[in-house]
Amino acid sequence: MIAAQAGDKSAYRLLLDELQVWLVRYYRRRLPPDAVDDAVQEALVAVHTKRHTWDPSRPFAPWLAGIARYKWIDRLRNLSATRTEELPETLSVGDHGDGVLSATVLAGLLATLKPAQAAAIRLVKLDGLSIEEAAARTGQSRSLVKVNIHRGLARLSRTVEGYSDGE
Amino acid sequence: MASRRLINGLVDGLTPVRPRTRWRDALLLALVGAAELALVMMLQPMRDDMVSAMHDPMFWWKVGGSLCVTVAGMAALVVLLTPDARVGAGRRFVLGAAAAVLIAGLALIGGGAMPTPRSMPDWREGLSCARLCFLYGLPMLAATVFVARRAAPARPRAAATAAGLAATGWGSVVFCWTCPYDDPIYITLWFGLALTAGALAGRLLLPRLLRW
Repeated sequence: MIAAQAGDKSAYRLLLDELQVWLVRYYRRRLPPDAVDDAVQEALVAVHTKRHTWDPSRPFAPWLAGIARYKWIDRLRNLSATRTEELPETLSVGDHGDGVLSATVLAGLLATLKPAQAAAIRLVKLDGLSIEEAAARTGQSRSLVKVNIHRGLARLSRTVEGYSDGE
Repeated sequence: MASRRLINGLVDGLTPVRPRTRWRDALLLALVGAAELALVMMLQPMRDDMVSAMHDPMFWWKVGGSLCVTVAGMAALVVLLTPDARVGAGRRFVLGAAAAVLIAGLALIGGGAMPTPRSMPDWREGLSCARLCFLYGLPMLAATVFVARRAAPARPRAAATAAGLAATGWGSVVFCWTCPYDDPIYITLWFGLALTAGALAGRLLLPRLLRW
């Protein structure tokens, strides 16, 4: 490494070859097989770019182990960020198209009613509230809620029949 | 195969480098600190009672304590800038400095040199002091980040904490020359708050800048 810091290319090639063997062994024990090559290459690049940080008066092995460990943790972080998992059998769901279409048509039909009728139908028939709850929510009396539901549904029937006749 | 190509590329791109030494990093930080202190002393008026303050042990405890924390933070940072650094090495410096400052304070109290706490200034004044300690530390913070990015801190969070502490510590040293308060509780509270905030800010904000 001292020779490599001075710019000796043949010594550097020898060093990197030996480091590669050591790094492959190091990462095989710590990473999934398909992540080993990338980790080795990242560590080699780090050794290259940070070669000036090794102080020749200090031992080389702990310096190299520090870089290998740092890149290992880095790789683990990346693996956890991009973790792949098998998709469960129950993942697929039915087509929501019909539901969306029905909801759109229903919203259009309700818009043709008087607001009080539409609100009564929406609360009681769609949201499942009781007559009392709907009356409290809309400020209408119980009997008025019933009347509005009845008239509103009758009007919806006529509208739908009109659509059918038109088709 | 890919590794072989990579090694060939790295060997082709090899240029001589000058090995990093801890002393050179420390010298660079010291020069930045000295330049900032000189600049502030030239541009900022010193406290009005500086002559009498310089005979007060409390003033020197304030300056010495801040300096002690700065040196500990810098020493921890410089040690943490190599891949083979251990976190414990940096922690030892900081804990040692904190102990030294406290022991010095207790010795001053024992010797009767520590003044009794006076009426505390308004908390807004204290908060302003803490903020100035932090702001005066920003040039040193920039220098520590510059030094750290050229090195290889394998413990980015520890290095970032040390950098924040060193920078705010130096900010406190610089601010000591203009801060008119020498009350021990005031100093411990507001300077301590600035140092803690600096260390925490470093720990939270700097690690992403120090990754390599």
